[in-house]
Amino acid sequence: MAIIVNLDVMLAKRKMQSKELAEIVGITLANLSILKTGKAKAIRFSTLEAICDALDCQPGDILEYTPDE
Amino acid sequence: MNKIKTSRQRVVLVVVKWVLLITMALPIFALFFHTYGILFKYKYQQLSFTLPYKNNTDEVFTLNKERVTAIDKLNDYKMNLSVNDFSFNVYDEVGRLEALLLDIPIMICYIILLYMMFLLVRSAEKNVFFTYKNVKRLNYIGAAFLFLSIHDYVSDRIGIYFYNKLVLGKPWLTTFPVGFSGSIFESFFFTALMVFILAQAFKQGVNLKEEQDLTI
Repeated sequence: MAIIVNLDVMLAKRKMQSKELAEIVGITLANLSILKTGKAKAIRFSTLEAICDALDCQPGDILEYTPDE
Repeated sequence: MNKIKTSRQRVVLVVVKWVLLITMALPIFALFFHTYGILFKYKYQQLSFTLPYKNNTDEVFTLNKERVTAIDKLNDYKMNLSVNDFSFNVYDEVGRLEALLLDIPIMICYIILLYMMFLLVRSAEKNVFFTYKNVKRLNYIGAAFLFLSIHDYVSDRIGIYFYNKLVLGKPWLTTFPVGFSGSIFESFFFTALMVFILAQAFKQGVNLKEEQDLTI
């Protein structure tokens, strides 16, 4: 996929655990891990909003685009 | 994941499952009786002809001398030949094996059909209905129906050929059905096409479900 989710980096910057984030955002840990490993096919705006709110960042800090070779 | 909530759905699934399980035993019984017949040389007594085509000449239905001789000849060979709209069977002490060979593919098809349907119902009970495995199972069901329709048609043709040869004395008399009666339109052919379409629809459903599951 050309879209890379940099949730790990952002979590490390904010020194937050995955479990904590999952609790704040209101998604299961399994779904968060799907998001982190890049298996996810789509992300709801509401989820993105909640993550940005919890980590106090912009969507661009989490999502990155690199063209496929 | 969607859970089955209503008790009605649960009852329907259980009933369908048990009906399938019971009907699954039927082809196995049929196979057993065929084998029994071969082993103990049980003979069919009757000699019956049902015309595959109800056509315009009454002559076909009356037995003239030639035809009586033909039937007598059949009796001499201890052969029972029956031709009807859908099947063709030759039974005698040797011919029984041929009948079994004709019936075995049908039985295998029915067993595949019933088993696949049973697996589908069981997956519905477990709430994992939209999977690629089920698409495969639907495709198998369609293939079984297609094979049954082709088998039906071919054996029908063979039966008509033998009827024409032994009774009318004209083996290559053209008796292809005109109209829908007894034609391929009456067989499982269209059921097979329908199941293939359903399998394709199911595949799209599986894709949608996967995307839905992977949307966070």
